[in-house]
Amino acid sequence: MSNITVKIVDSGMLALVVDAGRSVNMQEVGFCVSGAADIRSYHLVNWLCGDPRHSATFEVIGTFCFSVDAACTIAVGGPDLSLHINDSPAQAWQTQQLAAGDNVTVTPAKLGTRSYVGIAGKWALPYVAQSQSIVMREHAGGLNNAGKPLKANDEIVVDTLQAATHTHRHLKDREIPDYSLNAPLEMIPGYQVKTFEGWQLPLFLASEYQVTHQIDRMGYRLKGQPIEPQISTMYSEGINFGAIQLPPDGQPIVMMSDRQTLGGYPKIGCVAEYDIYRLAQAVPGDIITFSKVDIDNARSKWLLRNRLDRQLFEGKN
Amino acid sequence: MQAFGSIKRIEPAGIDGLIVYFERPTLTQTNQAVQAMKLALKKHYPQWLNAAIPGYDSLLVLFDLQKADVHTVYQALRNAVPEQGSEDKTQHFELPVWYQAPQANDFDLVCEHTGLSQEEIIDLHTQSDFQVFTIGFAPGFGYMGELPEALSCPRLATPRNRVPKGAVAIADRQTAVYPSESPGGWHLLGLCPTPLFNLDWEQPVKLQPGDTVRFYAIDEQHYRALCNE
Repeated sequence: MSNITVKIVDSGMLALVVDAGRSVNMQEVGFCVSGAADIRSYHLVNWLCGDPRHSATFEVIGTFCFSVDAACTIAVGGPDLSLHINDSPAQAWQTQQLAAGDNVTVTPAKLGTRSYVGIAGKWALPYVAQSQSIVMREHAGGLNNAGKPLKANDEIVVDTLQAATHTHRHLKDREIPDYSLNAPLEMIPGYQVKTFEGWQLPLFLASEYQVTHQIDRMGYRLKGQPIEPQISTMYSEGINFGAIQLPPDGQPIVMMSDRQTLGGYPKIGCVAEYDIYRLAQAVPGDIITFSKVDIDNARSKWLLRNRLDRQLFEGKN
Repeated sequence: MQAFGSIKRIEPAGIDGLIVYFERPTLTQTNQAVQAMKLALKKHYPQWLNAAIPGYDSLLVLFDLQKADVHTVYQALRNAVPEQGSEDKTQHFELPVWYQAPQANDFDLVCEHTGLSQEEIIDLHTQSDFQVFTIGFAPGFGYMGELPEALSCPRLATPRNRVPKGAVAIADRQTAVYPSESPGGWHLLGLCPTPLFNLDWEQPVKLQPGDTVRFYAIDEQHYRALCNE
């Protein structure tokens, strides 16, 4: 055992513990999946600090600061951010070694984006449905399994002996995720799409939507051309990651990591999994457009990206 | 994708999902077809199957993109042999309710909406078995039904921020027991002392889709005794 204590100095606007999420099949009994909102950045940061694929990291909004009482390995990533170790600038997207007493500060360039901070080792936090993610809505996960976000002076114990490697890893420029929203988010039409009038889907795809202030880990509410469902009542049904709900006001809500398992609003389709990370990093005022992709082509694209990721994760140290 | 049997429609539900809609003469039969298909799909634990999430009239099938595509899933649906009345895994529960417990008592509102007396409400809520249609909203929250039409009651105009753990509630032709304290918009009838959700249990959720439930009335003293068990 080699336990270190990580002490939160400044929790910023919101600091959570996340991992790759709960067992997907626990949705069958009402547990939301949770896990990192930007699952792409999460996996990269987790790999950079040498952890197994489903390890805990911090997901933080705003300036985040913590200290450690012993040597450990960390990595930080996310949209444009500055990283300081004891007031000296350091590089994001690579392995960093900390010494006892070091202080780390992460400051995103744009308020509202999510930064990921990995600390190699096994975090002494409870598991719910095979995940250490904090789910505020369910009062589950985190310190005392209370589901509370982290606050200043909270302490988390990490067993660093189980950390996989102390090898230095870094991302090449081309391997850093492209968070730009210039390209449309690809969506797979489905669910109730056929119950909308025929011109509603083309209208949806031709319209620009603005990200509102009503965004959280459950869903992102957008504002723009209303797309009005023809049906008003339907039975509650399973909601997949990225589902695009259209309540009676016709303003889309894209369902994210902490979405409830069942819901009864009509849906016009789902954002393809490989594009959800860009939406998860959007901030209020950003403009979003959608384009459609059929389910077979979406799978091909997913497989290609998965293969590139595997080359990165397995091909080099 | 071609519908068949009691399946009326199959639609994409994201990159790794298909949602299958069923239709039979009654909602209870439709939901039985959903549960039967879920069991049939899971019978042999196919490696590509990530989850099968039942709704009232639908089954959301999530698959592993590396091991399957929608055509694999469609074939599996075609080949599945749903066993009607495959109740071997379903259970029946008798759940006690302290009706009109002060912490959970909307009887005045329910009487007003339905025109029923307090005794009639309790009679209608205890006189038949209800089926657990699905679990969702929160861990272990079981949507049960169908209530007799006479007891049907709309949701509260403004949801409550806090509904106590164990509250027994109704909305439309559905009933449920809140497994943990949570917000909620249903009318409350009383409190059930039987724990339905505990993270420390091997299976943390007691009610499962397809199970049946019968409520019975108890008094405050009995309620307190059961809480202390």
